[in-house]
Amino acid sequence: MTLFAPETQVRPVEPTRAVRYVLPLGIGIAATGIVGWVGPVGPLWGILVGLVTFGVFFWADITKHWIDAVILVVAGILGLSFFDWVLAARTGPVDFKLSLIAAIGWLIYGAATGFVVYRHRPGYRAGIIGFQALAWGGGATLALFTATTMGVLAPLNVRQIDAGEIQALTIGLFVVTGLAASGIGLGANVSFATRLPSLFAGGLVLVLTVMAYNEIQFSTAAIATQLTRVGEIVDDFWPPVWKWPKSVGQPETFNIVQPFIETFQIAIVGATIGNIFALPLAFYASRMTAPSNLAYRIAKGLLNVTRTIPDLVWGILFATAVGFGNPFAGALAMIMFSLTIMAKLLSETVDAIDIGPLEAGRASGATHTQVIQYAAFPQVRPNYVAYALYIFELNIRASVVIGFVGAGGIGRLLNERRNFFQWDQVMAIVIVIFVSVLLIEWLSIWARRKLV
Amino acid sequence: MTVPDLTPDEKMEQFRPQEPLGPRIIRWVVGIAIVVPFIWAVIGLEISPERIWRAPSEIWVLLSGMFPPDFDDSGRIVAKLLESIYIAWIGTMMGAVFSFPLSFMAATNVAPRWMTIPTRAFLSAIRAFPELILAVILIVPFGLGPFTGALAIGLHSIGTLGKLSSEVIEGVDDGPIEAIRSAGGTLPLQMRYGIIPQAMPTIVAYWLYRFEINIRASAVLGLVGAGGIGADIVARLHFRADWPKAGAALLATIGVVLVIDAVSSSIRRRIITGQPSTSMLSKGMIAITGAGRPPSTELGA
Repeated sequence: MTLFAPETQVRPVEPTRAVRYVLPLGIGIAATGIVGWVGPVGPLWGILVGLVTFGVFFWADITKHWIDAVILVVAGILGLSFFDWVLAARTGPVDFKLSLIAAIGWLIYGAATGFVVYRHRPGYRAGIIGFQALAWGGGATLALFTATTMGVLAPLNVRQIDAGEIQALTIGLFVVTGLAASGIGLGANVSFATRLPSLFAGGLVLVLTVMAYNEIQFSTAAIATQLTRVGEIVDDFWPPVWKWPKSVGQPETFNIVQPFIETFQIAIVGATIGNIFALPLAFYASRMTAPSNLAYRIAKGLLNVTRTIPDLVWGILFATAVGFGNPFAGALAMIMFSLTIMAKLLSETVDAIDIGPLEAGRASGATHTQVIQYAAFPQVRPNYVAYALYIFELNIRASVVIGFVGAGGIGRLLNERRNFFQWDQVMAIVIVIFVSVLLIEWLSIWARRKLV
Repeated sequence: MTVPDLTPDEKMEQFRPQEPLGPRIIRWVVGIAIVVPFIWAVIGLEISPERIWRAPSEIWVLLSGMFPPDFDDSGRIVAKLLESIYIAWIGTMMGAVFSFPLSFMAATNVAPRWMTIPTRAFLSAIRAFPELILAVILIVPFGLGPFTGALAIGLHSIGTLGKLSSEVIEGVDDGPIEAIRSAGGTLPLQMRYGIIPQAMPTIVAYWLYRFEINIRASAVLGLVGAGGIGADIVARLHFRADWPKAGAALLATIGVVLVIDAVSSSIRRRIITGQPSTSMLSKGMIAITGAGRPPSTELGA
């Protein structure tokens, strides 16, 4: 018996690293995109894409069998011919519906790649084929739909088609579609085969970033140019103007003060009412204290939906309902904003309370309201106070901008001055907002430290 | 001496101890500190009972105007929603990429004091500008469009993500860092092997969380002309009074935000716990594909 085991036994098995598959995947995605140059010739493109995919599968040790190459190439010819045919036969611009129909071609091809992975990786169910098909098809749809609005693919513009300036689709469309579909699809294939979710995530992130970068016309050049003329921009904004006449012929006054007070008032009303109304809702939205399962589901569902609506959209809705430029609309919006946040935070806290006092209350015959009042609420009171302060802070930040949609406060003034291109006055308002937000943040931190 | 005839309840009252004065005063002070500003605010905003009374019917008019929604130009809604998602995505990417090094510079257990203090001040300064206000300022040099929106969201995200990530870095266990230092590891090595493995899951979860917030933010940036669905909602509600179409845009936005929230929070849970998520979504995916089951053969076999 040896004192030291051989090193090979001591060393643990090295886990499969995602890095190993980055090179084959990257080359595969690039190749699928590049062979898009032959895109308008559907069958040929299909053969090339099938061969590229088989190459990646071969490299990543998924399959080495010739029959899989045949499956991929045949599916490629079928799918991409369909894709090409749909786009060539189109009468209008490439809109969402047409993108979906054209993507069926990629769906067929994706199903074939899924079948190959399914054939070679035991443990998966046949449903994986559908998932792969969706991944390839989804990538293609995204690419097509983005391409219609993308700058690099301008010839797809309906105006130019109508004017007869172009007839054919650009090659760029096929390149981008190939890149996007294979970025997401091939990533999903290898990710499933190797059980490394990061490969799929990586592909998705890459494709989304490239698409988004093009779609929003992100330009580092613009940033660089604007940085060189920062002096001119500062000239527009500086020095800030604090006093200006309300209307022509009037004396100059501090017009910031009144809207600023209004902002505070909106925040106070919103936070107070919102926090009070959130209290019963939070107890309904927790399994611990909900009177019935139905009430719990309704309250929870309501909260989940209302939480998706941003504060400013509440502002737009209420401004439309109760009158444009009305601070009452801002207060209503802030109530909804506070209500949803407080109810969510508090209901999650209530979920974690000690059930003992609740059971004791129920056992001694207390009504549901009494149980909540004497057994549940005292347990969460410190959290409630801390959340209330936090929500007040959020309210001040939010009510600063709520005026942009005509809901009162300093945002309304800012929007108004902006529409008159009075940048030096805008600067004064921005400075006031900046200082007050910082002050409130410090105050809130200080108060919470005192309380807790 | 006669004992007054008391009911049991009144006897109990007699023996109940007096509440001490301190808490009573505090309760009154807190009560006044809440009620007085509230009344001042209500008066200042000119909220009359009549107005409150009228509000529900006005909201009902709007709601009944918006529903049923009109999905006629769904193509445009999808395009604008995609633009919103792209703005949020680029903003989050900017925030993640730039906040990552800044968060190390702001963490007291990595960087020296002369570096952490200015970095922190910088982060909290850019955080103090709401996205909308940043967009208003950035429109001057960069013009109207989604690019400006992405820059505004990105800048704000750098501030928030930098703060959260630096707190995560400060919270890591010192043990591994010390071990690497004692074995002669330099600062970059300490960061790469001592801090990043511990902090990365939480930081990535924060990136995803920020993406969820940015989606909501980018949905309203259109108000100032910085791209996305917001401009359509406002235009249809305020200027064209095309309420059914506004309802469609709003419903689509809510749907997209709900789906992205569900996916993102499921991924976040997976990242933080390392366990397959228990959400319906991932359970469904595992049931269909069998992806969560242990492999029956070794890889590459």
